[in-house]
Amino acid sequence: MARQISKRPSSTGTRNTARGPRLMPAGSVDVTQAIPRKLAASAPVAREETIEERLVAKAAAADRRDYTGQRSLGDMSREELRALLSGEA
Amino acid sequence: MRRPAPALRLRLPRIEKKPKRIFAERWHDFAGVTKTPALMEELFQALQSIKRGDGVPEAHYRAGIDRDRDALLEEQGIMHLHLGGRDSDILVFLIQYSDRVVLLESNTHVHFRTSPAGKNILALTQSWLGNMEQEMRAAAETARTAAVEAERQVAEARRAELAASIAAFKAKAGLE
Repeated sequence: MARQISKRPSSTGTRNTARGPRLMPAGSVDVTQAIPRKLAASAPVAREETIEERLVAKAAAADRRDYTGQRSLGDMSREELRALLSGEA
Repeated sequence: MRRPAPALRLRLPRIEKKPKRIFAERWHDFAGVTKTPALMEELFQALQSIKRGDGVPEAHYRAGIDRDRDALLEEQGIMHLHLGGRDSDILVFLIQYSDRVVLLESNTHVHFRTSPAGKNILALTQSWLGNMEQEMRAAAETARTAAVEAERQVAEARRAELAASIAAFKAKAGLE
């Protein structure tokens, strides 16, 4: 009876027998992968801003412009004042 | 429970006689002041007077200003000026701060008939006013901190000068 020899499937049918660290061409090292895992975990990470936070910040900035950056009504001419208070400006 | 208005709002019956800036970003002209040239001119002149630091002419204050109380002013810090005479029903509601005046709206005496007085004005502007007053507090705090730091630096410089003059005196007298 013939003896069955099992064989691992291989694309080339040959096995790479070289073992040990892989050599990479200079300049091809990915530095983010070179950071030790522990250090990467403890590194500060920017928190993502939520849309609500952005909206609140935007509204606050608009308010700040309103009451600190606006021209005083006392510095306006009659016509400017009327236009502003009537909502035309 | 009624929450008192922040203390930044002045509760003086009259506009202080010192120059103030004037803002009106959340203004509503319910009484149609801007459609009546004579009233608009009165308002313009009153604002010019505030800007100069002359307060507001007596003709714009309520008739009983020195006799009776103003619930809106006492409870909410909102004062009002009359346009068209002391007994007119055309009012400009505003808030007075130490450095500025914020115009809120023109209207009739309607806000004195709500309970609490002025609740409908505040419904429109409370959030904006709250933010502005928070900014004003923060600015005041920053100014206070800067003043304290400046005083500390002056005191430190004075101490250093004193120490240097004592050292010079000792060296001259041969004490060291």
